[in-house]
Amino acid sequence: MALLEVKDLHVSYGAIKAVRGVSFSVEKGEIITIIGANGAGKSTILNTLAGVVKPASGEILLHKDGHEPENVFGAPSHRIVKKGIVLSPEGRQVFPRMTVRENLQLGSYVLGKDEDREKNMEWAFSLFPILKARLNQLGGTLSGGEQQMLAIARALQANPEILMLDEPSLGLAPIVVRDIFELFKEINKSGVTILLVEQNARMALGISDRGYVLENGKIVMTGTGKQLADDEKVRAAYLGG
Amino acid sequence: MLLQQLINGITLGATYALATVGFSLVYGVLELANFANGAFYILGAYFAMVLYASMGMNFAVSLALALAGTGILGAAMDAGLLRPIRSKGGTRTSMMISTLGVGTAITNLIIVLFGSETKRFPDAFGGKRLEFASAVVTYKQLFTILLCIVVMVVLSILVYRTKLGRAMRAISQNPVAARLMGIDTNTVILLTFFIGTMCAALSGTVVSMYLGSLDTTMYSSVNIKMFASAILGGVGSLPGAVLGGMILGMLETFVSGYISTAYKDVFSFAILILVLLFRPAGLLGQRTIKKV
Repeated sequence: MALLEVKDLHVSYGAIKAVRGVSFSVEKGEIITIIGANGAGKSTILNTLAGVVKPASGEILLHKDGHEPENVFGAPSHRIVKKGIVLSPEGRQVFPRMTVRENLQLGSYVLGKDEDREKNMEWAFSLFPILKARLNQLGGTLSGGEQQMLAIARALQANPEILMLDEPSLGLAPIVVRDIFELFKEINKSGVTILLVEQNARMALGISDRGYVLENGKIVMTGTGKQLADDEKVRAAYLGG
Repeated sequence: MLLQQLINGITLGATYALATVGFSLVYGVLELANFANGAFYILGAYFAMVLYASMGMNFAVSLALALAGTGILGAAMDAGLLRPIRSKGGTRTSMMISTLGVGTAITNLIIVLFGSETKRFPDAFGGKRLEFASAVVTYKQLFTILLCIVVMVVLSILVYRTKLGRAMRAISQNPVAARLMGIDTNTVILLTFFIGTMCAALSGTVVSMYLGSLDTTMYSSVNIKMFASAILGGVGSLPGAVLGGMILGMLETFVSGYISTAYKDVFSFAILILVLLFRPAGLLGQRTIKKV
């Protein structure tokens, strides 16, 4: 059974239906990408899974090893994070008047007293050495790329089972984007399942096991990363021909 | 004379500071001006007065019960009134007007229950005093100043050294990101109201004892003084609340002592206007730049 299974999910903002009957699944250890145009509903799906947007109807089943499947539909964000579903949001959203260290400490807010925060922080520094150099600097004073790294590192502090990344390449220099995507593969190899939403579809599909194409709140196509990257229609619509 | 004015000024400043820290704590987390704070201030004082003066309980026990009772009502206001507004995406203005409504309801309820005449608040230290140089310090003055220091230290530790404080600061800087960290924001906000309202009740009780009396007209005057101290020091900043309260207390005492009591508010508000003109974020306030 899939680690995460979303069935017939509907989400509305008032009268606007942003997500209209989406179903997809994420297997343990996979990297999954959802691609789609602006306003297709990609961020809405991640925000709903993270518990900061309330869904209208559907099912969100989480099946962790050794646990009964559990419907986390409509659960509040603080319970979702405890279950190991963690979102690194679009636009970084670091805490501007807190240091890098405090930002990372907030990332492990849900961990118990006996859990190893130091180890998580060391892991973040090995992935993003720049953060160690910036440890006592305020989050708001970092460059865009550094803030993005901080947001990802912060999400990793909660020991996520599923790491959700919303537009991690937005506003970054192409060379930095390449590096960050290499790190996603490394994070994935260490056992974290990744659910990715990206404008940069070429990069995203390049590292993904599978992908879904979202249009107007509905999934219109699915396949392996390579299949989608090679597909005529996907190339024309999302990969610039 | 100067020394005596200084002692009186510090005491008055300490009472303003105590009232303002509760207000600033809530403002710091929610950016909400809680105008019910002044009502909780006098409600706490009435609670303590009833338990201590009317029922003859021990002062410390009366104070503790008054704080807890008022704190719970403050938390109830958040859970019952403000949280529904937040969860429906209502504006801060709606929340602020709700707190004004709660303040009016509480003060009028007090008038219904206790009447509008001034009540006596006996001195728990039996009028004991210290005399040195040419000045007199009463025990209740010392108690007021000491309490202000203790509350400041405790709140600073809470906000800057505990997990709850870190969660409060996270919510104030980015509420959505705070939720993504797994912070139960509603519970943290509830606790903020509980603590902030307790500070108000503590301040109201101490001031009533210091003045020896209490009545409901204190509501509007404390609300204005609290608001003025907060703006003076920098709204939402705890050290700012203390600085603002102290400046206001000193100024009022010195103007009353050396010029005339009639002019004390003129000077206080003139200073406030000057600060707003030249340092709108307050003396210790951070200039916040909001990205669009």
